[in-house]
Amino acid sequence: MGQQRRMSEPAPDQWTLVFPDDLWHQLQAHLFPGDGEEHGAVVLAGAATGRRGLRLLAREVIFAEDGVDYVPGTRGHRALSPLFIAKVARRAQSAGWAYLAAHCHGGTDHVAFSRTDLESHERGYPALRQLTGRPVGGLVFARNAAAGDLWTLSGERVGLKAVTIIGDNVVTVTSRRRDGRPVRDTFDRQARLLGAEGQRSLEGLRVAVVGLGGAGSMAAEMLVRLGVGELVYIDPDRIDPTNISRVVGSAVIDTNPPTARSGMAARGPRLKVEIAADHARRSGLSTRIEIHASDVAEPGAVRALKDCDWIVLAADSQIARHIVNAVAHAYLIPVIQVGVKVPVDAQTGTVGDIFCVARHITPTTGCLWCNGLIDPTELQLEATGEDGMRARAYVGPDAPAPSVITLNGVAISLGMTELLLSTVGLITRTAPRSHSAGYQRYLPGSHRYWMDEPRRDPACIHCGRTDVSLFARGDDAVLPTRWTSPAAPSPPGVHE
Amino acid sequence: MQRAVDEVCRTFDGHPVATAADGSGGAFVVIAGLALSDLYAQDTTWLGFQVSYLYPATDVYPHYVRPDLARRDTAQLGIGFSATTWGYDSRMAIQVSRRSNRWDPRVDTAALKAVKVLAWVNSGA
Repeated sequence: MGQQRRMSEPAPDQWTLVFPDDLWHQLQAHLFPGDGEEHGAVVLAGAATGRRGLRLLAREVIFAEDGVDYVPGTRGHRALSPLFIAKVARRAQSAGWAYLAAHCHGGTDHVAFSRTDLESHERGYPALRQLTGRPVGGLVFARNAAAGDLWTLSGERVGLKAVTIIGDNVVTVTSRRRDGRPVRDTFDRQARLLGAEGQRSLEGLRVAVVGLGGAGSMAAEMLVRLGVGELVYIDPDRIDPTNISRVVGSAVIDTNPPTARSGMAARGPRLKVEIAADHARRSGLSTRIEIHASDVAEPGAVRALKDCDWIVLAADSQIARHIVNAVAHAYLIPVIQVGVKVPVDAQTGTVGDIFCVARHITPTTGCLWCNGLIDPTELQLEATGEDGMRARAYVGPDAPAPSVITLNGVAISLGMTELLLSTVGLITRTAPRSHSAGYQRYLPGSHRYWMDEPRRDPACIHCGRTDVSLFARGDDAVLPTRWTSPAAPSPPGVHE
Repeated sequence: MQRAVDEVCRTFDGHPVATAADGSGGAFVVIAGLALSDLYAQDTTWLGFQVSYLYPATDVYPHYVRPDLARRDTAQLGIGFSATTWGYDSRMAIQVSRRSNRWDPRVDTAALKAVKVLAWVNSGA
């Protein structure tokens, strides 16, 4: 055969499978109950395509009961029963999910399909793909390894690159242990903590920073110096003289660049995303920067978010919270949301209990909607532009909130440390928790720190597992985006 | 969006419903010829509101009614009412501020909210 692939094997490293950690643990418990036997299940998944290839997003696991749904095979050791396959395929077809049959092999760090497995895929998957109208494939797991054989709608047959599990830690499982490049000297000191594999994980990340103000610019600075491979900066704002005290990389001259002062074509103050990108380039590190000088609700920004491994939410608007929350749960992307609240009594000027928060939001923690962190009325006022601002005036003037670099620094350090440790697998929880991750809160005035336990609404429109939620829908999700119409608003139509 | 407008048309069957795109993916909606209660000097009003591009996640807030709305007893309209301009045509209007603190996008709709706001206006609360 020489260099040619055998017809019965998929092309290697073509797609990834993302699991919320609760589904992953349920599947692992089913496949590896400790009896050393082979067990089976079907994973139903949404699909997402992007610049980094196809990602399938595990949404539901249907367990095959031994002896009933998972029975002795006519050709191989065991197989899913035709009745079970038909039932689950109908579910995949009606709900629009990809169908992935999973079983286990022995071993720990290496796994591959047997010849019998691959032949059974060839016999069954073309018809199953036609029946469901969705990608169909097989998965085989060892304790710490996974392999996959996917039959796509375009007729290709492709192999699994990795399984990524999103929980407290982001864990990657492949078909075999891989050796990577050595760590560059620049990162030697941190790699002594993170390990070479951890440093390479950072270099492989694409992270979005939404909001490049006082908090976001500091997050960007840390991510560049950690060695993150690619950053996406999203912010429509230009720098303002009141920002200089907090925005990392900014200078007074950015508020009034020379071209404007010398009578040449006026540019106006510089964009915050440009300032952050220039600052990153000055470091000489190799992080690639993509900038979007637009609101996060614009379609281009939403598209950029879908392809990320993490989203850092450092913009304090209800729209940013809503959009990021929607994308994160439709595409199973972990989020770090940071913020600082300085309560000041408008009448007396008395400062209340200042707090800094860093919220680690995973697909299983419960989301910003579940936790009352998105206000539907404020969201409406922001989304309705000038009319919304006029309507808000009824409630009272919208004065700028206090903002201080050191407080932003606390929230960002908490958040970026969480992102870092999660990426390299160093988060440990000492207390048993019903859900992973959590919301950190620090009150600097009273030197108190604690974790808020996030709530989770099973019927949530974003993170719930209902038929109408966005959860793991990937490219089938109808995401909220703002249209930009040059002719807006339009003349009225009348419905009698 | 279209579903929201269709529901408004069904709910207020018999009343002309005008809509105009707001340029962001949402719509301005105006329901005409709605009966006012005896509290008011006028017999009818229009009721306007904006369904945003983020609907149904967003509350529908605020609402707007005719700019000359006045009580028959000449008393002030009270808390929740304020004069403003609004909409695709920047028309004069009275803003009616009734926010839904427990807005649930799975249950609440623009049509239901319009019914509640109209009832509140007519109650003179």
